Amino acid sequence: MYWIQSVFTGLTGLLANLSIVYLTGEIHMKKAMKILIQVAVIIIICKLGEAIQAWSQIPIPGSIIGLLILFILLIAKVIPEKWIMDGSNFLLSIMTLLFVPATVGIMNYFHIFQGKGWLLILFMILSTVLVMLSSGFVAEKWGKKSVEQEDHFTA
Amino acid sequence: MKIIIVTIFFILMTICIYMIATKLYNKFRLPILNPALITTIAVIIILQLFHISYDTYMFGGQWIHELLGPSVVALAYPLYKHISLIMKHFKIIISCIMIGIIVNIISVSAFLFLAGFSKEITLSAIPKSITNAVAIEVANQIGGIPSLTVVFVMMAGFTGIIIGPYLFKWFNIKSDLARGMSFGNASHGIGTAKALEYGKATGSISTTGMILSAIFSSFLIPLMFILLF
Repeated sequence: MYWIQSVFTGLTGLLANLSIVYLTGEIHMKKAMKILIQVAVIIIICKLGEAIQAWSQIPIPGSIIGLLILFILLIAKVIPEKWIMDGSNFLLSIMTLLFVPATVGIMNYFHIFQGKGWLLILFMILSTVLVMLSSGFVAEKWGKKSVEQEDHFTA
Repeated sequence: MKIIIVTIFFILMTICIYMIATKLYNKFRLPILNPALITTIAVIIILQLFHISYDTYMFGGQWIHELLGPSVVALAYPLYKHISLIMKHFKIIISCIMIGIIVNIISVSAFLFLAGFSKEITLSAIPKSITNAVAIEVANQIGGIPSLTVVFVMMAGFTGIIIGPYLFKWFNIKSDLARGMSFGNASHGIGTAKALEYGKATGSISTTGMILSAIFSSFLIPLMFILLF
């Protein structure tokens, strides 16, 4: 029951997003249907990951388990690439929209940035610089100097 | 009935603002016009102006939020497309990512602990170098505040694209691999968009770094949490 309900919730949310994109004339009806079906496959894999997480109690987000499942299915050629290609690309293209609702929640936490809260900004900048430099140094010192052309792919 | 109207209204409002923000970004191409940032600010201003609570907004917002998990699963596709690139530079990519994650966890916890911030804030800040969707889930997992995490994630992203190019110049970081790894591991999606400006190779490496560091972090951060607390 929980399954059907959550797949339904996901699909309705998707339908709302898709219809807006469709109305603004960026996607045709046939393509929209294809994306809808492919995203349904991805939602089911995600719910499977969440179910595994809830059942096994491992402290890893269910969606990451879903990611690994889909990745393995793709490598093992159980799911052909074209079954999920358009759906994945669509979800990834609207990913920044999807975390807006979570971000809006910051309105309840503005007080954290008052007083010594400004230090948080400084620490985030410092820590990011350290991560960039450490990763960059290791790759610069021991990695190959150039990456060959045929490897290129960008989503 | 009232709830249904409120729900539909907030879904439409968020998506419409987002589409306008995307148009704006495509026109001017300024990083500060990041569509997610503009949409968030616009929604918060509207809610504050009309004295609407976050919980009311989430009647609509949760429907959009629901797709966040599936979008994380969708990352499997670009990862699959990059598999030959990963295999070719396997050792170096894995070591870079591991070092990035460890430096991130240690530096954030040390800074915030020394400055005396609460455990809740520290836990929200630790996933800051992970791509947003995964960071939210990791924050949920370890008991941080997801909304706060997103703000830290955005700070990490913007720091990367603003300071990154200077760091490359000062510290002589030149190769595609090094630049891609820096952007991907430290500044996730926002950094990857910038990495693409350095060329397709840098962009691919950055995408790989972003996805793999998200996967490894989502294993390591909860593990570290169990060991330490």
